[in-house]
Amino acid sequence: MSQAMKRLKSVLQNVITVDRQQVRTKMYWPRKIEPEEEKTHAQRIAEMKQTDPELDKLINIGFPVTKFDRTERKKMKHELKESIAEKEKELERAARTRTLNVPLEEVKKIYTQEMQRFHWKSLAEHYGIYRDLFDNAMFYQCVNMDIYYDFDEEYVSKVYIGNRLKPSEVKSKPYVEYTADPDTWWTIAMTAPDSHLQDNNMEYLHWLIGNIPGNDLDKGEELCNYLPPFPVRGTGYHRYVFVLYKQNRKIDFSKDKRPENCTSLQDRSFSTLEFYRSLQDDLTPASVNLFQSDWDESVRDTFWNILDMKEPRFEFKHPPPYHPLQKWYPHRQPFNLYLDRYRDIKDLNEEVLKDRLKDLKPFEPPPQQKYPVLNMIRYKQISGVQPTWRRPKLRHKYLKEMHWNDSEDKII
Amino acid sequence: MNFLTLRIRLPLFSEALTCKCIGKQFSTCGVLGSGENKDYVINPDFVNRNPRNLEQMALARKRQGWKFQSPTREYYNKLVFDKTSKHTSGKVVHWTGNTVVSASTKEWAIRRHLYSVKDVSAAQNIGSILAQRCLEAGVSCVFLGEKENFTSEAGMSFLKAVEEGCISLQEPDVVEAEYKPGIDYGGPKRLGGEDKDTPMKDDYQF
Repeated sequence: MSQAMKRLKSVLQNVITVDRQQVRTKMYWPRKIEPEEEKTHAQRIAEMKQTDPELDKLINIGFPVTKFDRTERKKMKHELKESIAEKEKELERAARTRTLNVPLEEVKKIYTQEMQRFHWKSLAEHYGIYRDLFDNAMFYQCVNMDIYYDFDEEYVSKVYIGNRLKPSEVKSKPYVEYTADPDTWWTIAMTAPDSHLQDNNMEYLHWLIGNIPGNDLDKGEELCNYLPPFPVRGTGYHRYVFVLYKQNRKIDFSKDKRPENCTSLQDRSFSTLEFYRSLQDDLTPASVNLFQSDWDESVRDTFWNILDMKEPRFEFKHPPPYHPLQKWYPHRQPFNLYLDRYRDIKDLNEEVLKDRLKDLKPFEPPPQQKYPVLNMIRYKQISGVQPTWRRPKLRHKYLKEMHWNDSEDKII
Repeated sequence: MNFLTLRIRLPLFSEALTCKCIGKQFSTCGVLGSGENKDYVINPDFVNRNPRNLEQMALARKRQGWKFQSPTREYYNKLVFDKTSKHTSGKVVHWTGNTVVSASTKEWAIRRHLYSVKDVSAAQNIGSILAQRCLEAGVSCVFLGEKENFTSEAGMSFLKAVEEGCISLQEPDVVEAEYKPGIDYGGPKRLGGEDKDTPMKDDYQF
């Protein structure tokens, strides 16, 4: 027994020593950086966004922001406490029964005076207005401008900052309201930074009125008449920006004047940056509003009847797909489909064309398929006979999927 | 030990991508015009500079994050409800981290109409005001962020008010290109292992 125990002990010792004799090397990370030292996504984005504090500083070209009076606010808070104490029971009952609904219009009234300019400034930045129109110079909204279009007899559609309106809603001139002294001079411009059909860095001028005394737009000088927006089909949402400028004095706008009832797109090409640069001693931007609009049937009407030209139409083209390196032995892939993936597209098209020419009879009209679902039945009949690897290809052929689909050749 | 292989190389900023529509698909229709725009030449490459356009058309890529990452990063705009012991606030956050729209009981305009800043009716009113501001800023659908924040009574009434204000609580799925076999070796292409040393392009549209 003791000998057996001894032998077992030696074996166990050997096992332990063998176990200790493992080869261990230092941990190898493919990027040579340990995961704790690796930057996070947020850090990488912050690094990419990092700008020069002096060169890329947003320059305020507008009026300075007036802060609200704190002493007045304290007074108002005090009054509020008293007024709440009076109707505390009513308010509490309403709050507890969930019937306390804040009057949205009254909230809006104070909001426009206080916080709106800060929120709308960040929204204008979000929509890229300062980037595309003013070359990264910014301004706060110091005049609240109300722009609205007639919707029907009862309702109007208003322009805020980025809300969506259809082109049929904005066919006629808008009404513009703001508060101003009658001695001051103002300019209002409506431009489309996304709609240009030739040079994508230019804008179209839709409306321009200069030398407006106070807020009476009818007395102003109409330098360019109103042209309804025409977001081209297939290009998505376009921005339409209203900018209100304050003038130091009455300006001679003979350079920017367009002919009456101007419909020429060449004449309507415009650049807000150049316009502002030429007059920057006398103009100060005071307010910006914008709406977004996408294609609608009324755009065709604008192209045919007002601009008198053919209506263009575009289609979004996806970026080319990514294909990983081809493998000699792809795992769990049907080999014929896998090889098709890396073939030249010309070869594939040739194959499809040859197949189509087989059934084509040049002196007879092309056969019209009355029941396309029959293809499915035919496929099922044939695929039962075929080997499994050929079935998906047959399926694509009969159901016109993948490169057998010929609908893309035709443009309606 | 090559378990960290980048499968698809994509730019981090989807804002760099603008809507580009290329000449093959470009067409015109109508009778020949006789006015001033008769000879107006249209550029077949149309670039829409609107940085929010692709998101609204659901063509922009969403940030995917890691597989088991929580909270998920797969959204354009996220709805956030924040109730502290002192104030109630709601906001919509863009995927880049910017706050797009916000409403809070810290604002005097809202505070003066409320009984309390941290009860259920405050949350409900913040929801309706946020919905109104969202529509004004052109945000019509948002992604619901951390759902455990909306399980309380205040959170639920906030959500209900946002929904009643015509804001959809579901974002559309990304429209992806249809798969087709074959590579156009003569034209633009993206192949793995081919241009490892050349710097990554921001815009893969040619």
